[in-house]
Amino acid sequence: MSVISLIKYSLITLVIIWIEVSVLHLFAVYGATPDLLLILVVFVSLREDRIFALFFAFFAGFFQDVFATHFWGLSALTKLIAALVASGFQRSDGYYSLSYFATTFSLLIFLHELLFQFLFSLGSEISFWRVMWRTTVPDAVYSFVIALIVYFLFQNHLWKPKTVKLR
Amino acid sequence: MRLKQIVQNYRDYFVFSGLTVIALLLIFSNQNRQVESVKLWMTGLVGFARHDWARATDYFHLLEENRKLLAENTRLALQNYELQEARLENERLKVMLNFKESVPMELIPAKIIGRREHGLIHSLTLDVGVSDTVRRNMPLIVPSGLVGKIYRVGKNRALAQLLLDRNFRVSAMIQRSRVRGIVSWAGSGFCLLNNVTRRADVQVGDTVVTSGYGEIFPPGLPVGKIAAIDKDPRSLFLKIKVKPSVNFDKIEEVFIIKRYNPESLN
Repeated sequence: MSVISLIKYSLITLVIIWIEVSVLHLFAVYGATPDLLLILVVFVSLREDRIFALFFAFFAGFFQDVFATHFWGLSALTKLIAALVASGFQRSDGYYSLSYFATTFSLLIFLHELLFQFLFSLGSEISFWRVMWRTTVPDAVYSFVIALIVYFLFQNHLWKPKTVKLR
Repeated sequence: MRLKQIVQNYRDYFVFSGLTVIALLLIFSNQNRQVESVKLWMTGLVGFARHDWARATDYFHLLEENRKLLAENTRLALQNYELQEARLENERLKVMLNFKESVPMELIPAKIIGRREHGLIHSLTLDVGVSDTVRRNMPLIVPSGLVGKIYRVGKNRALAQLLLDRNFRVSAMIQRSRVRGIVSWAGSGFCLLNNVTRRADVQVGDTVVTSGYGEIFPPGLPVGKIAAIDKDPRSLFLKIKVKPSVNFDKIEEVFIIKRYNPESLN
């Protein structure tokens, strides 16, 4: 893990948070918006060392809480869990096929959205299933679509073979 | 060394746990509906756990509580018994008081504190004596009739001879026909009215009262009712069975006739 990578990820995180805060609502489809930071967290977790991924997920989520959700600790916790699970799917050869990526990412994003929306809707009068169908599923699908686009756009750049320590 | 190795092997999970704790602390530092609802839920959970635990520990106190309740139950039962006794005594005393006020006699109330029923001897011990102006041969009565007489007096105690005693005699008469005789105890729950001639006017159910002869018993005290008349052809006298008017098993208080006015009785 180089300092350049750290700076790179930090800058991308700040840009994503800026997008989420300022312009993302313009791209909302029937109220659903993608979680761009989650996509980044999953990519980082699949590419980098697990401890780095955990710290990155925690701090990225924390910044998202501070600037976007205004619910301190919520994104930090859900992104942290997502990073832990995602790093478990990390491949030793560093190459991810479309099917593998799609399966892994759909599972992760659904898990993340489920946990996030469950915690976010606590104490509200809206039922869990209503939140599930109105928010969780649309957001997860939207995020999944964006993740696939990112996958196709940057696959040569993202999935270059690298040396990963065997666990 | 071993600990270091464990930390090294599981450092990912230690980091994850540490960051999770920080995230949870951050979450609980918020003051919003989500956190409040979680706190409320946790309070309910803790309350439920405490309530259930309290119920569980209650079982350990059941033995002690049962013992206490048993003692309390016994105490209340005794209290109830005492209250019932007091009520019954009150009722008896009311009757006695009414009786005392209705008769033209000077009476000394007395409580029975002892009872002797040995063979032919039937006597009572009373809680009054010379100091209460009780004297020998004073008659003993209850509202229903004659009980006996005082035969021995101490300073604060007196012994009374009952109608049930074999040696007790009282001059009596049939209230309706004024036929006189001597009443004595015959046993088996009956007295005998002796010395009544065959041709006397006697019927079953007649009331027998004291005649007033002699200087001990005033006239007119109920002794009993005639229960049976045996006319033996070989005898000059009737054999008259008298059922005493007093239930000797139930009396607890009596009156001693201190003085009476013969004129008013007549």
